Amino acid sequence: MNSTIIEKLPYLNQTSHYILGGRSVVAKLINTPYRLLLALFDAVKLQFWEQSNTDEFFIGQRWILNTIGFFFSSYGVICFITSILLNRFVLLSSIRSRRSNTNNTTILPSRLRFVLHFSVTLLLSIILFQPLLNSNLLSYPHRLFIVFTLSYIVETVVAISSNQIPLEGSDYSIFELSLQFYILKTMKVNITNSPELLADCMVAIASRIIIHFVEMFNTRKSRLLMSTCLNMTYLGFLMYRMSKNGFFSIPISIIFRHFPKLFSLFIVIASFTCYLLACAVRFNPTAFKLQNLQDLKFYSFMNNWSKHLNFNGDEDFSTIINKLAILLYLGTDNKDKNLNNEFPYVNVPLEINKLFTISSYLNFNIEGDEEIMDEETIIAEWGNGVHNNTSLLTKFIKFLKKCIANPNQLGNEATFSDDTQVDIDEKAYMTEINDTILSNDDDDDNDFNYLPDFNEEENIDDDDYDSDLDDISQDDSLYIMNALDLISPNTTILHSKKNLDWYLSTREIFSKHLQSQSRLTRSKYSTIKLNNSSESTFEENADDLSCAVCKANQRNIIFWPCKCFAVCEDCRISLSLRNYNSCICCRRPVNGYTKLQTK
Amino acid sequence: MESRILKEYKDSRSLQSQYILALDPISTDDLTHWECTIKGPLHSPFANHTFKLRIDIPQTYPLTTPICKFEPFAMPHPNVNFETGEICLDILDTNWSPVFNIQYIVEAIVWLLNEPNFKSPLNLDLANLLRFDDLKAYHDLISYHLNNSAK
Repeated sequence: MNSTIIEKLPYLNQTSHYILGGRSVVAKLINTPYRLLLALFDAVKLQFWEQSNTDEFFIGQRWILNTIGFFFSSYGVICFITSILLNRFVLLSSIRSRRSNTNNTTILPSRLRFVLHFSVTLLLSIILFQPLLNSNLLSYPHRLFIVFTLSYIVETVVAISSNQIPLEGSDYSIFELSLQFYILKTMKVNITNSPELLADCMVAIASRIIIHFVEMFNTRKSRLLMSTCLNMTYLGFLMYRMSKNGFFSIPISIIFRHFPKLFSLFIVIASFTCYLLACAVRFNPTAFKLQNLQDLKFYSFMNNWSKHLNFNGDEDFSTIINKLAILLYLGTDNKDKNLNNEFPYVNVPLEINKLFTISSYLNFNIEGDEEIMDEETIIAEWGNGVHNNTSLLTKFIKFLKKCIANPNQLGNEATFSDDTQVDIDEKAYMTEINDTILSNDDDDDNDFNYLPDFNEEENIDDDDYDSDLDDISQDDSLYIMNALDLISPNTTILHSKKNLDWYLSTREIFSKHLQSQSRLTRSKYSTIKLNNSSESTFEENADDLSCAVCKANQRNIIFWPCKCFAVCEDCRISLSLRNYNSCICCRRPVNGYTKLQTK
Repeated sequence: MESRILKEYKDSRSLQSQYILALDPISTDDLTHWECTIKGPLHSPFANHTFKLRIDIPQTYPLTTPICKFEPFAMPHPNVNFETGEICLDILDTNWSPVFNIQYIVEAIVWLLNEPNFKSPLNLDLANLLRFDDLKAYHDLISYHLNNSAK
């Protein structure tokens, strides 16, 4: 009876198993419970597999069964034991290193480390090339997994024993692999049928080989390079398979594992392309300067991206590419998130190609009026030319001709002109006075008996130069006539606005001279001016030099030509983005601005 | 924007003006909605009357204009829409500059009560009376409306 049952149910026959050999009483005492337990275990296992393969379960139940089954499967058990082992090792090492902080003595001799790594590398290589050599791969995942865990244990133990952080791959952890193999087993998928899965396993092994290789020759820094090569090859292979068989032909575990890398790679490539395009837009072949590129928002990032990434070279490819993608994606917006707070809050464009200027609030410093006129016409020409291609072409040819004709001038357009400081020597000073008088004589009715009214003179607001031009010239005529006696008139008549501006700037000196009793010297003039300015301008604004727009920052922008000093750098930029073209204080058109260095 | 409005709120606490009787945010938690009470200028048909203004400040302030309206809506003025209380004032439209503040706007509205502009009317009847210099009819119509709404 007993023998027939045992024959029918082979799992009950555990007589071949024993712990202690021999026929002693002790051996029997130990072996009998062992055999019973083995029989029970095999029975449960068999029953479990039989049950899980039938179709009488709902999907949810099957899922639960599979989950429970994982913990009792060989993969689950190995994963569990390995993780506990590694965890203990790491904890132990942290205690030990705290005790002996000063001496970085390695426990294992370097030769032993080499041998350990080499043996594991050998094992891994055997596993790696097994699918290429023979076709019998039924237990391949099993073998692979065991060697994989062995590699993990060796790497962790050796690294910790020499006071280093063990290298780990973020793509393939033991747990992930065990889960993947278990699911493949339950779904009865043969790993050899899917080249993607096989390649995935080989990449996992190869990444471990890289780690051991790097450890063997003490070149941790080169890991990233190797890992990048490996991953790029594999991603290329994946892309090829995807384009050949479609996206859904690839197993879902591989999509989960490698798609983030692909996506990050895409982000990185797209960002770099955008940046290069921006550089190309900025590129000015006639006047190449690095400053053009420095205005770009990502300039500092692109120059220091390796510092931003903060990598040593011993990370693996996926960590780095994901980090880079996150940095690029977050950009300059997350000032508060501390990830890249080295970006300035507002990136100040020092200088912008005038063809792209919309608001004159973006013009740094004053430029000559003629140049600005030129650029306006160029912008207008370009704007009109966009509508029909032929005229655009002709305009472009004209533009090119202009470039060829005077390349130096074009180069200077981008910078602010150097001759903002007008050289004042005495001769030019006097000739210009004469000329303005001469041109004035044509317009006015030569009323020399006209006496300037000083009170009225004072009432003229400084902001209204243009409208009160005639009054000014009349008021100053008395003094200027005196000057005329000394100098013979020069025939060059200065009609250009630049000279007129120069004349207007001297107006104040004239009026001060008219008011003062004695001869006005430079020192006297400066003291008068100092007193006046402290009385008039600083009295009202003494306590408040905050920006008129935001009231938060200090004012540091002067607009030209109205010289209004009212806004801060941040507000200038936000105003320029709203296309403000006239001064917010006096409504006169703004040609440019100057930034003051406060503090 | 916040610091700017806070500053204006601080300034409005110490505000002393002949015509601005009150300038307060509706709730101190939210400084984007303000209420203002102004007095009609002395030598205008609006003298001896008080008017309420409602000022809504957009998020983009001071780069864009606040939205100003006469709250009880029945405001007889050539540049104010009688139905909606909407105000036609150049600095509230194209001539806005970010240096203006709420107090400045209110002062400009008081000034507008004194000096209506019939060239950009929102109330055609009053504007036409003003255009043909019929000041008596203009004054009478305004006081009729004001007394009517007071009752």
